Amino acid sequence: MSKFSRRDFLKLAGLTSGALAMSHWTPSFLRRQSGDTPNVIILVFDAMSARNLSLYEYRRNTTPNLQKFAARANVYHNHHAGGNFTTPGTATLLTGTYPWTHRAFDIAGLIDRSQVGHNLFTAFGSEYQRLAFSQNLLPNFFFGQFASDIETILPVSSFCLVEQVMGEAFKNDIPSAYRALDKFLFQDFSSPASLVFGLADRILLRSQEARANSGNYPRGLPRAGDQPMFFELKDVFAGVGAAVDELNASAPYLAYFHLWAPHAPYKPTNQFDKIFQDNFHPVKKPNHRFGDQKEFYKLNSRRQNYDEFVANVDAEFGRLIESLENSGMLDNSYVVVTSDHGEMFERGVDGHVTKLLYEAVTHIPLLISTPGQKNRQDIYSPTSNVDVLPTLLHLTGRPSADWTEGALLPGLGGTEDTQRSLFTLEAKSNPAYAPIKQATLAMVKGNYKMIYYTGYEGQDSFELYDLENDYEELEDLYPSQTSFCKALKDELLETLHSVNAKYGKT
Amino acid sequence: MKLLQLLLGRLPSKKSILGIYAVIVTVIYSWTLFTSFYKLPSWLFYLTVGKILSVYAYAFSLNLLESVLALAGILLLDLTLFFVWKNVGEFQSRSILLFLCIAASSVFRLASFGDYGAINFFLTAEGAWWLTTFLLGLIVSALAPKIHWVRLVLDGLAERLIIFLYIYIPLSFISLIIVFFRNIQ
Repeated sequence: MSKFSRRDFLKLAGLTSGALAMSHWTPSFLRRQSGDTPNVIILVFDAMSARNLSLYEYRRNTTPNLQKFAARANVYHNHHAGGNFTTPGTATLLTGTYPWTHRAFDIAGLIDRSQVGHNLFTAFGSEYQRLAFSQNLLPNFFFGQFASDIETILPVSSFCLVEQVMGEAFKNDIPSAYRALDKFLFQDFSSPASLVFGLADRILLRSQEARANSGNYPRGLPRAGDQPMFFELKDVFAGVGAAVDELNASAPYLAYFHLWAPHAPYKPTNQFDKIFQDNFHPVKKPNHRFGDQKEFYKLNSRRQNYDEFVANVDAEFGRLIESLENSGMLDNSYVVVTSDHGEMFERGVDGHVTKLLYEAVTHIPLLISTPGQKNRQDIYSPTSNVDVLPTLLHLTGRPSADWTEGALLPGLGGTEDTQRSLFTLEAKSNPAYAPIKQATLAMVKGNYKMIYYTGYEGQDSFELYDLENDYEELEDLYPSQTSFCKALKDELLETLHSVNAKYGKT
Repeated sequence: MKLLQLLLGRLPSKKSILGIYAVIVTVIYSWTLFTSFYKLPSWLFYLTVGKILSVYAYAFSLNLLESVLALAGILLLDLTLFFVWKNVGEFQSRSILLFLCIAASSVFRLASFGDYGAINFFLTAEGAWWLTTFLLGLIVSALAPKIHWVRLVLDGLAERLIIFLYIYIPLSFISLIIVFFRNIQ
């Protein structure tokens, strides 16, 4: 808590006061007390792949605290992201729709204006006090779109030790300002386009970073990607706890926290650095034609770093849950733990900026703890992040959203449907408001998963995997051309055709 | 009052100041454009033309501010530190040389940022680097203009680069208007 600086405290206190002041805009008789209505806390861990969590039987013990939390939660074992990077993945979670509907599938994309009103915060209504925080700037673009329905949006740089995010200052034009300033004029991973200010900014930022690292992080302080923000994990989690603590006193709340870790760069503390120098040998998978052709040993090294960072995040998560439990908040809150997408260390790919949609990058964790839940419930049927919004509305007695493409999650109002089709779309190179012609589309149906690559160099192609008997997706069943395979292909193509119909000739 | 009059009296002609500004603008804007060429393929792939233009609008707006500040800095140096050098005829070439030295040092410095370990090493030498740059700049800008052909080249360069002011400055004002309108409610 020592690094949760006075500045951060003041920032949080100021924001909270602002939120409380804003909450007065809603007449008090319209607000119920949190005791009557359950709160909702959503924790999104950026780039957390279910395939690297011991909670889901990964060999390395990366998540003992998530496992402990799972003892009092619904655990979804076959849960999928809507996209393979933050923009589409988060938009799917926040809107309950697939990328072809919300259209936020290009880098730093925005949700289609016609869909902006269809989101989690609006759906919960003003009876709930709504807070949103993301350390990743991309979801903040969405928060800007939903701003009229969010009482408190914590700044992206909250709880950071060092930050120099510039785009945030241009409140009415954050995406463009961020793209121009933080990703170009003051970019940090290649030469900044601003010769005078860019250099001064870099010297200042790096000097502050070097001074801020107390030595607890041997690979440098965790950083929010190429955003000029450095933080300590414990500060971020302490900040989340403090923010929740402040909210608890006033009214029922919906609090959405999108945390950067375990997204790259993977920088654990001394305690977790090198803890997985073991004899674990992941399955070697063939490089994909759309992979980056990275060498297997390098991918394994990156995987080890990632696993260590995941373990570090898990430890902090454990502390946060413990504090929520001690304060009694878990007794009247739904706690959702999930991710926006996964992370790959296979087939030549390191990370998630890829055209590929294998399970490593689409299979994400989902745990939902209901108020006062004492037992673990395991759900194995396929589910998707489109399902989270309708389920939360159902659980909290909010009016249902007829626009969502999701269904109620099994165990929380829904029933297991093994024949349901779920989709993940990667289309960052496709214009957002044009038919989807250059994309990868994955469809999970029962135990099977079909992947379709279209519009890239070379011929369009399909792959088909039996996820139950081929967990590592090594045996492509598509060439067998069974009738089942043909039926899946027809369904996938028909789905793509129907979602493209709105955008004219395909 | 006397000091002010003295300082104002030391100010060079508007033409000289314009020449220096032309060099500053050319270097600063060209650096931004040069850097943007590395980004452009990716932008063309992921962004619409409107979004790309908005990036340039922010960039040119900032460039305008940078160039004005750089000119102010150079003029300030001329009025203070360079005060002892009384040859007003060398003002333009001296200022251009000093700016070019600092700009070249900045570019080189930017290229020398490396990974986390390298950064710590880099930061320890920060003060020394800029002191050296400044001293070197002073020596070069004090001595080089004494060479006739150097002065001719620099003055000629400044004169020819004035054309860029007619391109970049109007573009910057249009950019400022675009940024303004993108940011009003």
